[in-house]
Amino acid sequence: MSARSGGSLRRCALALAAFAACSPLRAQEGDEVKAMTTPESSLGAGIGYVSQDNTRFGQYSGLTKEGLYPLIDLDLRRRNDETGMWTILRGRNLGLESNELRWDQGRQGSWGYYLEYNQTPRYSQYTALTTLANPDSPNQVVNGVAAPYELELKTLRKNFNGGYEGRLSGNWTYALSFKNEDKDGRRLFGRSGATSFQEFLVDPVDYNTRQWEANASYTDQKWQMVVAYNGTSFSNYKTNLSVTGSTSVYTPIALPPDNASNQASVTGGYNFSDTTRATFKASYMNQTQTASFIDISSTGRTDLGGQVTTTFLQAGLQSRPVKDLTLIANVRYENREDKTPVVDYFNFTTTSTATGENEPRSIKTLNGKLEALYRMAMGWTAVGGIEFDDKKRNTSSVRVVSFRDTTDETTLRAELRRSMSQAVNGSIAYIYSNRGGSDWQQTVITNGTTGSNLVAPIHLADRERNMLRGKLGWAASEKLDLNFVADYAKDEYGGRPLGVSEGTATHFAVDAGLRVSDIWTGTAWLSTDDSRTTLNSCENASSVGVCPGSAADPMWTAKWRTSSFAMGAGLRGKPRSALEIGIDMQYVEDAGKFEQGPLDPSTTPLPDTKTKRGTIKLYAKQTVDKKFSYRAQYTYDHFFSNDWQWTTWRYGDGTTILTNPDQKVHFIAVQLQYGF
Amino acid sequence: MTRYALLFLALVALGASAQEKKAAAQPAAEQPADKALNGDAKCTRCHDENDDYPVLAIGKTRHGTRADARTPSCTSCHGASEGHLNHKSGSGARPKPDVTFSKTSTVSMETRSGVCLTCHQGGKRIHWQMSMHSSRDVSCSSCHVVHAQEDRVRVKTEQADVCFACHTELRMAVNRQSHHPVREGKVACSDCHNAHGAAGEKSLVKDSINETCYSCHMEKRGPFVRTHQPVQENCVLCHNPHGSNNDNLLQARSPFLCQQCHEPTSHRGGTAGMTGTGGTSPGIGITLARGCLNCHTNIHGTNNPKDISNERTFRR
Repeated sequence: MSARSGGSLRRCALALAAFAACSPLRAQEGDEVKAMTTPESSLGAGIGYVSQDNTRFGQYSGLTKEGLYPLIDLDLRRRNDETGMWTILRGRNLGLESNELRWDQGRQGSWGYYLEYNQTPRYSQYTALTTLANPDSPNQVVNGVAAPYELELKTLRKNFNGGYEGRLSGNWTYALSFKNEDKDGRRLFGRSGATSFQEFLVDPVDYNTRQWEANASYTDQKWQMVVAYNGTSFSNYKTNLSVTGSTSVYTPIALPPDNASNQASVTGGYNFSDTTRATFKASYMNQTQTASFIDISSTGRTDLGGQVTTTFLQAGLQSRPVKDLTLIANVRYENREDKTPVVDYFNFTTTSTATGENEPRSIKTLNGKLEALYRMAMGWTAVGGIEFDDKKRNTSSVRVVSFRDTTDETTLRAELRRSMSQAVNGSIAYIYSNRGGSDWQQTVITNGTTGSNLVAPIHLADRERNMLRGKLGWAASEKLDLNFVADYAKDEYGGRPLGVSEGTATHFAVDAGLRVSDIWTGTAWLSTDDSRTTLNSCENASSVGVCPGSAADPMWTAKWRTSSFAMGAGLRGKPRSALEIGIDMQYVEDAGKFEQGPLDPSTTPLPDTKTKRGTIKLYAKQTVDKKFSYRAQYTYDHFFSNDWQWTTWRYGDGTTILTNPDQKVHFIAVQLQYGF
Repeated sequence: MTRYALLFLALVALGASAQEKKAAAQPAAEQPADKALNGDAKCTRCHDENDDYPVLAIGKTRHGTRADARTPSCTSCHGASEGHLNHKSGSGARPKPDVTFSKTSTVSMETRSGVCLTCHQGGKRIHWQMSMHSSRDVSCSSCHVVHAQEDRVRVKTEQADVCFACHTELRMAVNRQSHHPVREGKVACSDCHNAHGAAGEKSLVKDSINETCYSCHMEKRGPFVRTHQPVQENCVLCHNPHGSNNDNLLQARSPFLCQQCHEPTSHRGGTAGMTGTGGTSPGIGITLARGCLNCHTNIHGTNNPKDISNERTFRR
């Protein structure tokens, strides 16, 4: 065979092989399709290292101590394609205090259940340096320890949840769910001390919260309805705090009492036609608080007998009477009625600002909204709406704060926007609201004298609000999207000489999405906020509301301002087929300013505050083969604050609080991942 | 040697091919098979994971559970799309499917959401049409991704980023020093809000703000022997649940927060300052540490039935 003929044979053989290979390819294609349509599972196991003790970086994850941490994640999904049976086991942060584990199983469309366990720690940003003894106990001793020691303040929530859902018949389904949470730990607390200098204490948190629900749902093309029952209970295993070691009279201290609720509700929606739909909800809740008192009551009662009932009604209608016009009407009513018996618990003889009776708080809210949307040519839509909100409250006969039985607020809204489907889209909205109310119920002291009535509480005061919001989205090119948001709001309060007189808020944000190439994508954003509030007050007003207005006791104004700046950027890429890399950066800076004047000569002005946080995250994922990959991660987190709130503070018992104002943490992690 | 090896491979391949052809000779096998959804063959004959619009990953999701008779085919969501399917090459650009969900789609948001509501109108989505999202041209596909195993907005650690795409002011808030653990992935927006609309205010999962907060903070619910009126009325009068520069998510720091309502009688009109005593006169006693709450510790209410020394003002 000549070399030439040999070459032909080779080409022929190659051609035959290529042709024939097409058939196995079909089988191979079937496998590939199956792989692409079958739920994927993954397991990850690795280790992470935290470079230093901290209270910010690991505040909610538990990564608060220098050292190594196991990092275990899993996401196992199995679906039986013949039966539709799913089995899912998901776990996150399994080596950390913030672990989560959930098991789901069910035949889709027929029945299913889940069980879940998760924990959420919360490390206080503060550490106490104290001599308090027995901080985890309801019997604490001020200065009960000779030498100050560092006390970590932390709570941990442990949740166990479960649920089951099934199909009854036809369009009916039902569901049962249960949540149990145990929360324990130490929360920063305190009390008035023996000589008006406050004492440090710990709230020994030891709670159990349970919530359960049963519901039945009906769904068809016209009707949808959910009938539900909800129950809740709260138990506090440490009902009071008894404190010794100081001559302060403030002991025992009541800790939150047990309480419970039961609620029945029905929620529904009905499609009258393709263009008209109604919705409704009605619910009734009975809430009780009958925990035994922690101290002897002169009334002879052993508990409050607290009862609050809440009736909630809502009805809504959405209709499109003509093609381009949509109308929405909604009304909501809530009556929270505090039916707790009124008893003279305190039998005052010396006070002038309370009757000694408990003060049940009831409130009725009626809210209504009408809105019209008109769609015009070129993707434009005009929106106009009006909303009213009426609240009616009760009060007691003796008050230390001025009060209004009713407030009513009317809001007008106008908006013009261009559909999000266009290359350039956006909206501009103007909102105006005006709140007024009934005549003021003035403060009254028990001898019948009118008290001080200089301040209109911020939630009851006359208020005029103007808000302007603009949004612009621009698809600059196939590779670049830009979005801009700008907000401005101004509140003006009136009716009383003191209290908050004005507030303004501005917000600006720009977001960019960038597709650099098929390999690289990026995001970037920048936001600013600025809010300012003006408050007027005076020092040492008399009990009937006369301000001295002297240099020693001035009329004063406080203008506080909070401004924030934040920016972030991220880049993701796949420079090689087996390598993914990414970087995320974020920087946030919050500044506080407090302008007061004129000041009492004995006080020193408040310095400005600044809090900064910068975070850089890098990751790389190297694929080894179809199943195995490595993921490496590096995080740098820097928190800084010069806030003065605790820095010079010393409790009367000598306790100080360490604020840990400058924290730099490096976190390095490597994880082996197995996908299948 | 190489030549013979190649020839051998070719024969093996031919043999295998013959087997395949035999199988292919069966009439049923000539129909393209469904890949991800029941009845998807007419679409997946052209569209696959390598397409500009990769589609097959939907097979990994609940939608792709073909044993559940309720699950859709491509046309259940994208419409019959006859023009798109029957387009002849050379006769101009192929029309798009009847219903598309991409950012540049010209299909109305109502139509896009209507497709989903055909099956998903019940339960937590009963109030969708009344919701702010619906009336502001946000459709289901603005937030949800259907053709992927993981829908980001349903993943607790990633959901907030989806919401922040529009709610940029809240992205600022959750990064403040006092915040719920949203950025840490332990609390999701949907723990408090039902983005699909709700009967109550602010699209909350419960009928009121307070009821929503009590879901996790039931110790604040009371009622108490001594109640603090704004606490009972609305938690957000004092707290900003999305984040704050002040500890405990407070709207303002002490004493300013309290002075927004309280008369300036006695010590209540004191100026905030860095000097003075730890008492109640102007200065550090009402400013530093927990401010007014240094003494009025039980500010959410107290169930103590006894008044020894004016501690009815939430001091015991």
